[in-house]
Amino acid sequence: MSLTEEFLVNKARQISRELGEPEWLREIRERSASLFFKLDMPEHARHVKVDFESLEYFSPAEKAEKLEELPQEVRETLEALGIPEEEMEMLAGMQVQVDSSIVYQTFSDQLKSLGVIAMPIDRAIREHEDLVRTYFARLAGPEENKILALHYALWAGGTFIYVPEGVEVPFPISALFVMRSLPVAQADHTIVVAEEGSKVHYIEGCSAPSYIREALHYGVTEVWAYPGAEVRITTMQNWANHVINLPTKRGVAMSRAKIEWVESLMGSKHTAVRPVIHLRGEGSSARNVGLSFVKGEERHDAGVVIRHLAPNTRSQVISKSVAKDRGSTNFYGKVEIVKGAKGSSGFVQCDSLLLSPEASSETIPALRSDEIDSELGHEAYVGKVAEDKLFYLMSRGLSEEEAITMIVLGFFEPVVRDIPFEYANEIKKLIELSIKGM
Amino acid sequence: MLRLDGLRVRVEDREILKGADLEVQRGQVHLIIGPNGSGKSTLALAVAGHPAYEVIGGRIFFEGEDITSSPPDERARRGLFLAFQNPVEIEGLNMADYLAKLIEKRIGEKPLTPLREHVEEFVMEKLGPYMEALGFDEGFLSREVNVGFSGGEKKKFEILQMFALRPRLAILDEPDSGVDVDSLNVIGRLLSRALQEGITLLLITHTGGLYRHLRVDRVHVMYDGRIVASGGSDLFERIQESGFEVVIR
Ligand SMILES: Nc1ncnc2c1ncn2[C@@H]1O[C@H](COP(=O)(O)OP(=O)(O)OP(=O)(O)O)[C@@H](O)[C@H]1O
Ligand SMILES: [Mg+2]
Repeated sequence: MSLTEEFLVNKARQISRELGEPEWLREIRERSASLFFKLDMPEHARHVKVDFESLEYFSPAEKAEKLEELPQEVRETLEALGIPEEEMEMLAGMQVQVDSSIVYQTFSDQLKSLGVIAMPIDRAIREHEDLVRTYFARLAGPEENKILALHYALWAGGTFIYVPEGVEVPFPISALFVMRSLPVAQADHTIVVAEEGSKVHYIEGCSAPSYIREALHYGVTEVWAYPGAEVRITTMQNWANHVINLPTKRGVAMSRAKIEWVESLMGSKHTAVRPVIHLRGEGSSARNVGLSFVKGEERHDAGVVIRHLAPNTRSQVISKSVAKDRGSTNFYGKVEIVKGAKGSSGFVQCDSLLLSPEASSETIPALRSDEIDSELGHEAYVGKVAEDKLFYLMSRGLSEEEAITMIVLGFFEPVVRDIPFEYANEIKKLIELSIKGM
Repeated sequence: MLRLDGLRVRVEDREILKGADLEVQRGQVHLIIGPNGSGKSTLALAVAGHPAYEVIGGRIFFEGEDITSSPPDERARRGLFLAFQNPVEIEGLNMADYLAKLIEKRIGEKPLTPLREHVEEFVMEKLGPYMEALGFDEGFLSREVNVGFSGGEKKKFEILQMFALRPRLAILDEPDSGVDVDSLNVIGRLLSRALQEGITLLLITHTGGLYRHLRVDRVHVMYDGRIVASGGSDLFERIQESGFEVVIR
C-alpha cells in the first residue's frame, strides 16, 4: 500500500462516514489529511522514524457489552495492568478501547446524577455535539505538525469528560486503550473539561500486548481547568517494544486552577512526548510527574513545557527514569515565566537510574524567566549506575529480576508515595510486569 | 569448602589479584589480613561474583563445585554469604520488606499479607532476638536499606542479614571496623554462635577485636594480590607485634 493524499483523504472520509460524524468533523478530517503531506514531524520527534506506509489506520473492533464478553486477550491485558475484575467494576467510570473502537464501557449512574459527562468521545459527539465542538482541537491543531495532521485525519475513539461547575467527582474515571491487531495505528482523542470549582481524576491505561509487530500510538489529550478547578490525570502506559508512541498532551489552567499530570511510561520502541501546560490564570498551578522505564533498545524522549502566563503561578516538574540494557531516556524540561507573571515559581527535578553501563540518560533543562520577581530551580541527578546495588541484592540470593524490581520500585517510591494507594499499587504492578517481560 | 586456585582478578583494567591460593575447611575460622589495598576486598567480591571483578585466571571452587562463572545469586543460593566492607544503600527499599524477602528465600514462608504490620510482625518473629542483640529496635524496620545508617549500624545490619540467610560460608569483610566496643563484643558472640550453628567463617580484619571471641584455625596474609603466608594463630600475633615485614621479603 502506498500512502497517497487521495488514499488518506478517502480514508478520513470513510472513517467519518462509518462513525456517522457531523460535517464539521469530516471537514477537519479532510483538511488534516491533506496537511499531512505538507507538514514536518513535530520538532521534538524529528528523529523518530515512522513507517507510515505499513500501518493499518482503522480497525474497528467488535463491540462487547459486558465484561465477560470482552475478548480474552483484552481481559488478560486488563488483569496484566493490575486491574482485577472486582476493581474494574468498582472503578465505576471505565471504558475500554481496543485498537480504534470502544468495546466495553460502564459509566455509573452516579456520574449521570451529578451531571458529569464521561463517555466515549464518539458518543459524546452524538449526544453533546456543541459541547465537544467547543473544545475539540482547541489546544492542539492539525496545522501544527505531521503527527497532529494525521491524528485529526484519522483519529478514532477516546474519552470525553465534562464536569459541571462545583462538582467534585467522588471516584476516578478511568479508561483503557489496548492495541490488538497488527500492524496498527491508534489515535485516541481525549478531552477533559473541568468547570469552575470542580474536581476530577481521570486515569487512563494504555497497553499493547507484545505480539504486535509494528504500531503507532498518536493520541491527543486536551485538558481545560477553569477557575479553581482541580484536574488530575494519571496515565499508565505499558507498550510493547514495537510501538512508536507520539502522543500530544495539552492543558490550560485558569485562575487558581490546578492541573496534576502523573504519567508512568513503560516500554515502547520510541516515545517522544512533550506535554504543554499553560498557566493562564493568576494563582494557577501545575504539577507534572513522570516515571519512565526503558530496556533493550528502547528510547524515551520525554519532557514537558510549562508556560507561566499569569502572576503567582506555580509549577513543579518531577521526572524519574530508569534505563536498562542499552535503553535511553532523555528529559527536556522547559519552564518559561513571561514578563508580568510576578511572584511565580517553577521547579524541575530529574533523577535517573542506570541499570547497566550501556544505558544512557540525559536531562536538558531549559528554564527561562523574563520576570525579575520570579523563581526558577532545577535539580538533576543523572547517570547513577546501579551495578553495586544490583550486586548487593543478588549476593543475597535475589534473582536479577527480583533485585531490579526492588531497586526500581525503591527509586520510584518517593513519587509513588503521593499517588492514592490503589493506583500506586497498579503502577507498582505495571513496573513489576514490565521488568518480568525483559 | 572454599578453594581458590591461582585466582587472578582484574578491576578497571588493572590486575589486582595476581594468583591467590586459599583453602578454607568446613566448620573452621580463617582470617585474612594484609595491608590496605593489597586485594582482600577484591578477593571477597570476586568470590561473591561481582561483575566488575573479572576473573582472568584461576578457579573458584565452593563445596567441590566450580563456581568461577556462576552468577552471584546462584552462589548465594549455594550457601555463600558476603558481609560487605562498604554496604550499599538502596533508596526506597523498606527494611522489613527486604528482610522478609531474604527470609522467604531461605525458608519459603511469607508474611500473612504484604501489609506493613504483617511484614514487620513476620520479621520480628524470625529475627527478633538477633535484632535485639544488635541493638535494632522495631523502628529500624521502617527505614530504607542502609540509607542514613551510621558506619557501625551498617556493619551490624550485615550480621543481621547473615542470620536471615544462614549461609554455609560467611565471608566477613572487616565486620569489626568502625564499631564501638560493646557492639564489637556482641558481634563476636554472634559470630561464635554462627560457628556453633555450622556457619564456616572467613574473616577479613585489621584488628584483634574479634580474635578473642573466636578460636581461629588459620591465618592468611595477603600482599600485593597474593596470599604470601599462611599459618596458625601465632602468625597473627607475630604480625600484630612486628608488622607485615615478618612475612614479606
Ligand atoms: N571497583 C574498583 N575500581 C577501581 N579500583 C579498585 C576497585 N576495587 C578495588 N580497586 C583497587 O584494587 C586495589 C585493592 O583494593 P581492595 O579493596 O581489594 O584492598 P583491601 O585489601 O581490601 O584494602 P583495605 O584494607 O583498605 O580494605 C586497590 O588499589 C583499589 O584501589
Ligand atoms: Mg578492603
